[in-house]
Amino acid sequence: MEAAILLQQVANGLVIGSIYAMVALGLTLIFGILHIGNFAHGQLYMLGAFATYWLVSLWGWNIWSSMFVAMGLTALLGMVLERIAFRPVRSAPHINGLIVALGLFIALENIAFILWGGDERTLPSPYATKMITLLSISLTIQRLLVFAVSILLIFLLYLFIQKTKMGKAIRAVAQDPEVARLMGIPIHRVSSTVFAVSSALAAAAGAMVGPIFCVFPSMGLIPILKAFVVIVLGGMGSIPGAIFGGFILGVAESLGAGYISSEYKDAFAFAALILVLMVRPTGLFGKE
Amino acid sequence: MKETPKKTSGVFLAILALLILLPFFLSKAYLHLAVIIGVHAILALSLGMVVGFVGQLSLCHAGFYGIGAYTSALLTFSHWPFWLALPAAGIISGLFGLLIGLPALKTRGIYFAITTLSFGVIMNIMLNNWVSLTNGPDGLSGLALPDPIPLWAKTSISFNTPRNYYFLVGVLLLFTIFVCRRLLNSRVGRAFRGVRDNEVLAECLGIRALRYKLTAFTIGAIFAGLAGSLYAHYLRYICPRDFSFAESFDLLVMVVVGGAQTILGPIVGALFILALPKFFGFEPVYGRVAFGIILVVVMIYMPRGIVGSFQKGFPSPKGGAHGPS
Amino acid sequence: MSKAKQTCFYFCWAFFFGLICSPADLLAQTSAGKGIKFGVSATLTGPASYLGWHDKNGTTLAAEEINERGGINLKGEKHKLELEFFDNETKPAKAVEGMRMFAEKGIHACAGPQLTPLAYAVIKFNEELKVIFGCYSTTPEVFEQGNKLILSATMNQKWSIGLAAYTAAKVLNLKKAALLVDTTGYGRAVEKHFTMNFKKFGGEVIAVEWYELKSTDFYPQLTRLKAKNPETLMFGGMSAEAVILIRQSREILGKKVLLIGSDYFKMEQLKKAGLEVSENTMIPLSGFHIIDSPARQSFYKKFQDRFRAEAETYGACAHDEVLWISRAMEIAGTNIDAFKIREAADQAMRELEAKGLLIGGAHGGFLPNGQAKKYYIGTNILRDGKLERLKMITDLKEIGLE
Repeated sequence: MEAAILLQQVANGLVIGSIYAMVALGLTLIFGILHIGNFAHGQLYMLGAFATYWLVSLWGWNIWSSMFVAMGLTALLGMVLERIAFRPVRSAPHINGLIVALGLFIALENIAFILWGGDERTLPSPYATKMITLLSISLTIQRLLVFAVSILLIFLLYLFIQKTKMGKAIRAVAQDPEVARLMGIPIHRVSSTVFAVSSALAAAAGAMVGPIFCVFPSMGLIPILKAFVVIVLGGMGSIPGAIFGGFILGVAESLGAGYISSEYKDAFAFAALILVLMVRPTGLFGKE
Repeated sequence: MKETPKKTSGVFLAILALLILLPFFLSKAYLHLAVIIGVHAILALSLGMVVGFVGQLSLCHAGFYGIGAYTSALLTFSHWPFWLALPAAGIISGLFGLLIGLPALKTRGIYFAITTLSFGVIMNIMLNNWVSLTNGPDGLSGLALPDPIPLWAKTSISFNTPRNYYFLVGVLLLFTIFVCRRLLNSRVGRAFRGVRDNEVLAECLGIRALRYKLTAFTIGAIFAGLAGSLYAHYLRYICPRDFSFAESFDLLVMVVVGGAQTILGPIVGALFILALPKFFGFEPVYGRVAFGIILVVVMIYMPRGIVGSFQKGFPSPKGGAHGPS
Repeated sequence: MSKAKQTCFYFCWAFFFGLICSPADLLAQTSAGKGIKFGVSATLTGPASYLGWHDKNGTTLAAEEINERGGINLKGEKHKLELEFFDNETKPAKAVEGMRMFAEKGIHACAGPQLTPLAYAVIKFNEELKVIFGCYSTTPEVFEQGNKLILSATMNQKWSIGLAAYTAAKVLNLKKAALLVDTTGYGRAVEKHFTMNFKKFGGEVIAVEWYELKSTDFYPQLTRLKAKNPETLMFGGMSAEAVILIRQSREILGKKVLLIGSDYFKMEQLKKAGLEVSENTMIPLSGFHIIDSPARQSFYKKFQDRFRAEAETYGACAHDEVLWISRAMEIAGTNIDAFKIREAADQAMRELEAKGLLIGGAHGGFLPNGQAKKYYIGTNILRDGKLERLKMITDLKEIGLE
C-alpha cells in the first residue's frame, strides 16, 4: 500500500514535471539566445489553449489538428511580438526586456478577459475522461499523453537544435552573438525563429493541459512563475537543465505535498530551488 | 550625473514648496492617494538602492515591506508606542534583509532575481499560513494610529487625518532621499557604482563586492520596513495579500520605469504607476491593457526610465537604466 | 537620438504630465442632473476580477429595474438612480480611497467593497465618512467589529458549512470526512466550521489537505487523502476550481465517496465537470439558486441576454444591496444621511421581500450588526443527473446551531 502511494505520487510529479518542462523549454530557449526573461510566455501558453479551445468547440475539429493550428498561430504571434516589442530592447539592459515582457503579459491577459470573460472553460478531449491503471498507478490518458507529448517535443527540439542549419545558427548566437554576427549569421532571423519555436512549444503545452486544468485568461501566471523557477534551477539557457529542472520541481512538489504538508507545497518548491542555488549558483547545468 | 548644482537645487526647492502647499488644496481622497504614493515612493527608493546602486534585481522587496508592517503592528498590539515600533520595524526588516541577502547574494543576475522571488514567496506563505502569529489571510485589524506629537501650549499634532499623515510620510521620504544622497556621494557610493558597473574589476581593485551588495540590500530592507510600518498605521489594517510577489513586481516596475540609477526616478515611477489607474477609471480593464502597452512603449523609447532619459552622463557598460545583469 | 525616438520621447512626457494633471474623474461618468448617485466599489481588476464583473452587471440590472419603476421617490420627488463605479483593484488601500471619493462626491451609499480584506479596511473609515455599504463577505467577524453602517447580503460559513456538516452527518449518516480547502480566509473558515460542526453532529474529520488559490492540480493531495479512506470529501474553494476538483477527485477517489462543495458550487459546475462524473456530489445552494420567483427568473434571463453568461450569486447579492438601500432611502427620505438610511433598512428589506423582489437569499430584516435575520439555504445532491433536495433551512435553530 505504501509503495503504491509512493509510486502514484512520483507519477503525479512526473506528469506535472513534464508540463513544467514543456513551458520552461521555450522560456530557456529565449533566455539562452536572447537573454530576455520572456514573462509573456505564460500568455502565449494561455492563447494557445484558447485557440485550441475555439477550434475544437466552434468548428468541431479534433484536438490534434486544433493543437497544430494553434501552435502555428501562436508562433506567428510570437514572431510579431518579437518584432515590435522585443527587438528594440535586445541591446538594452536585460531588465528592460523583462519589463516589456511584463507589460505584454498584463496587456494580453486583460485582452483575453475582455474578449472571453473570466469563466473557466473545459477543453473537450476524448482522452481526458478515460483512466488507465498500471502497476497501481492511476492516471487519465490525457495525463499520460501530456507526458508522452512533452518527451516527443523535447526530442524534436533536440533534433532541431543539433541537426539543422538553423539549429546550428541558434547555437552560435547563444555562444557569442557578436562573433555570430561577424560570421554572417542573420541575428534577426534567428531571433524570430527562436520566438516562433518557443511560442509553438508554449501553445502545445496549453493545448495538452487545457483538457485537464480548464482554460481561462489567468491560467498562465502560475505556469510561467514555475517555469522561471525551473530554468533557474536547471541553468539558464540549458535545455537539459529545463527538462531535469521541470521533473525535479514536479516530483519535489508532489512528494512535499504528499508526505510533508500540502499547506506549504509551494514553499517547498521554492525552498528546494534556493537550496540548489546555494550549492550551484548558476543552476544544475548552467554555465558559470 | 552632470547637472549644474544651482539649477537642481532651484528646481528641487520649487517642487518641495509645491508639495508642502499641496495638501491644503487637495481633497481627503486625493490626500489618501498621496499618502499611498508617498509610502510607495519610499519603498521604490529602497528597492532602488538594490537595483540602482548595485545593479541587482531583487524580487522579494514586498516581503520586507510586509515584515516591517507586521512587526510594527504586533509591537503596537503589545503596547509599544508607534514611535518606537517604527524604527523597530526597520531594524527587524533589516535583519531579515541580512539573513536573506547572505545566501541570496551568492547568485547573480536572473539567478538572484529568482532566488529573491523564492524568498519573497516563502515570506508571503509564512505570513498567510502562520495563523497564530499573523491571523493569516484575514489580516490584522484595529491597528493604532501614531501617538500624537505634543507641541507647545497643550496642542499636539495628531495623525488621524490624511493631511497630517501626508506630512509624516513626506518627512520620512525626505529622510530616505537624504540617506540615498549621502550614501551615493560617499566612498561607499563609489564602491557601489564600481560593483554595479563591473564587479570583476571592482574585486580586482580590492572592493569586496559581496560586502557592498549586502550593505545595499540590508539598507534597502530597512527602509522597506519603515515604509511597511507607515502603511500599517495609516490604513490600520494589513493582510498578506498587500505583500505578495505581485507587489514586488509592481515595485520593480516603478523603479525601472522611473529610472533606476537616479534618486528622483523611483519616486516618479511610484507616482506614475499609482496615478495611472485614475486616468482609466471609466473602464479599468481596458486601462490595464493600456498599462501593459504603456510599459512596453516606455521601455522601448525611454530605456533609462523617465527620469533617467533626462540625465546626461555616461551610460554604464551594458547601456541604459541598469548595469550588467 | 533619432528624430522618431525624440518625438516619442516628448510625446511620452506630454502624456505623463497630462496624466498627472488631469483630475481623471472628469473622464468618468459625469451626468449633471437630478439623479441620485449610488456607488459601486468593485474588484474590476486584480485576482478577483470575475467577482467584480458580476457585481458591475448585477448592480446595473438593479438600477435599471428601479428606474423602470420611475426611480427613487424622495419626499414626493422622483429621481433617477445613477451608478458610479470604482475599481478597487482588489486592494484594501484602494477600497478606502474609493470610499473617500464617494463621500466627497456626496455619495453616501454603495454596494461593495464585497471582499473580506477590503471590508476590514473600509470599516475603519465608513462611519466617519457616513457611507453605508452592502457587503457579501462570508466572514462573520467582519460584521462583529461594531460597525453600524454595513449590511450583509449573504450568509456566512456558520450557515452554509453548518448545514453541509449536518446533512452529511445526520441525513446521510456519514462518519468519516476529509477536507480539501484553499489557504485563503474563506478556505480556513470552511475548515474551521466544518470540523467543528461535523464533530458536533457525530462525525469526525480524519484528514485536511490544503491548496493555494488558483491551483489546478490536486493529485498529490488527493492521493494522500485516498489512503485514509474517507466516506466524504468536502471542498472549501471558490467555483473556479470546482470543475477540476470534482473531476480529479473522481479520478483518484472513485465514485463511492460523497463530494461536498461549499457555497459557491453550482449546477453549472456540475454540468461542466460532466453529470456522470458529478454523480454523488452534494452542493449547498443558497438564495439565488433556490428561490424560484419571477424576479429571479427575469434577472437570470436579462443577465443571460445582456451579458451572455450565467448569473451568479455575486451579482444577485449586489443587485439586492442596491434594492434595499434605495428603498431605505425612500423610507428615510434622504440619500445622504447614512445613519437614517440604516434605521430604515430593516423595514426596506421586509417590504421588498414581501413583494418578491429580492433574489439573493437574505430576508427577514436586518440584525443590529448588519447581518440578515434569515437566509435561504439548502443542500442538494446530484442523483441520476438531477438535483435532489436533502435539507433546507431559513433559520440556524432548525439544525440546532445558535
